[in-house]
Amino acid sequence: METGYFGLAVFFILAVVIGAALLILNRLLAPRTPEPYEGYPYECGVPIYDKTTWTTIDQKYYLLGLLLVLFDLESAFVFPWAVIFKEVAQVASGFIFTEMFIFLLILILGYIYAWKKGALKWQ
Amino acid sequence: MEIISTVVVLVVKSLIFILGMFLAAAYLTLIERKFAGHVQQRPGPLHVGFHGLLQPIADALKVLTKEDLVPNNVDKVLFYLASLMAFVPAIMILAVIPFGDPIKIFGFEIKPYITDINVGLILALAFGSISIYGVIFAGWASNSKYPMIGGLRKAAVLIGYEVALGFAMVGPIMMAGSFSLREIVQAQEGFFGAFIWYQPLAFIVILFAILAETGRTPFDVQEAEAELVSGYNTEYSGMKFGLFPLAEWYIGTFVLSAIAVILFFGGWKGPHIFGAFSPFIWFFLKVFMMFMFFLWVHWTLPRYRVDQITEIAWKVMLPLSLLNIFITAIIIMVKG
Repeated sequence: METGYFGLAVFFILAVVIGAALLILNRLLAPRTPEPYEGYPYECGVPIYDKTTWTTIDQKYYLLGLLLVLFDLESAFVFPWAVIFKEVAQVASGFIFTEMFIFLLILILGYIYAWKKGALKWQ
Repeated sequence: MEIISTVVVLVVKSLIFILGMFLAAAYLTLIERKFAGHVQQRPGPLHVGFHGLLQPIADALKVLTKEDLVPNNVDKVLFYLASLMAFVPAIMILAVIPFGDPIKIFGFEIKPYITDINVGLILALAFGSISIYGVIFAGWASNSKYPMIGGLRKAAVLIGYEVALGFAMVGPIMMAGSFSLREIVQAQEGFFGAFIWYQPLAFIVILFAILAETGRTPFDVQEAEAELVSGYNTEYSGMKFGLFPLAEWYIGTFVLSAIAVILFFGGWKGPHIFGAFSPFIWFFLKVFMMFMFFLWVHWTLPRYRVDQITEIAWKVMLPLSLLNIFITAIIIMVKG
């Protein structure tokens, strides 16, 4: 019989359980030998300079992140079109082709604009 | 009654898939280490068992019995969650991969896949993108410099290649007219029906995207050993650490190779020369060849810089995959 999403859910639960079981097994099996410096963050053997890294970090790809949102949304519109393309192309090929490529063209114009403005550069 | 038997069958099948994947991944580590050894003109694992055949088991035991260290300043919940978040999405892709057509053994119909849903490919894509959370959580929760930089680099790489990967997959989807991986395989008839002959551009883009998603060498900036110690998993030890390379380098590469084989090389199709099991043998042979290709790239090429990687993604791969959609659309319209 077809299991569909139910099979997926069972697989997900089992994957989580097995992953968690491995971590717990590690905790149960492993020896515990406390050492004064074992909880020290890795720092090439010298005393730690910055106590935390949870500060503001300069991200070099902020604009790329914005573009990702744009283009991922775009691909979400292209996928359904791609699935029915072959079927519809037999009856109204010009229609389905031009319709999607007008949509893509607008986004490609935006993409060229972003490129020219230097948004695709690692800043 | 029927629902109980369904659940039991599903649980058993899922367990076989997951544990089989673990065993396969364990031996893929051995294959990789042997391969890397011979690339660098040294023997690789040699002493545990015949030519290192028991090495994966020794490694697994070692990783399981290492002290479960948690550094002082970490975010404990995210620190543990990160291992799971890297591992679970990687193995979830396995659930939508079909290994063959249903076969009949002793009157029972056995389906060599967990589930065949009509959005299989999109699910694979989605889980592939979710797996990035593992890396980012690990980088953030560790509260240490090298993991932080590693996690952020991986994010930069992934947001570029995700877009290219999504658009590159549109080509094979248009040819097959379905998201279901099983129907995509069935749309490829015969040797010259394989989509690799019609979609070489998409294949190139997907090769790059898989290398980037699984963090293999031209794109392994997130763990560049020479700069970042070990990248996002520097602070990890024991099984918490073990799950990262397992998920990313072995399970991730294996399942994404399987997706590439399904999209471009006709999945389990091939001449029936191995008897009843020939679909499985063909499928694993093709996936193995893909995997070995990634190993070959990994152990022979130097590494790109992170800015070069993102610029390749946005300036070369994205236009290529858009061009591929255009070409595919015109070919389908002309052929009718």
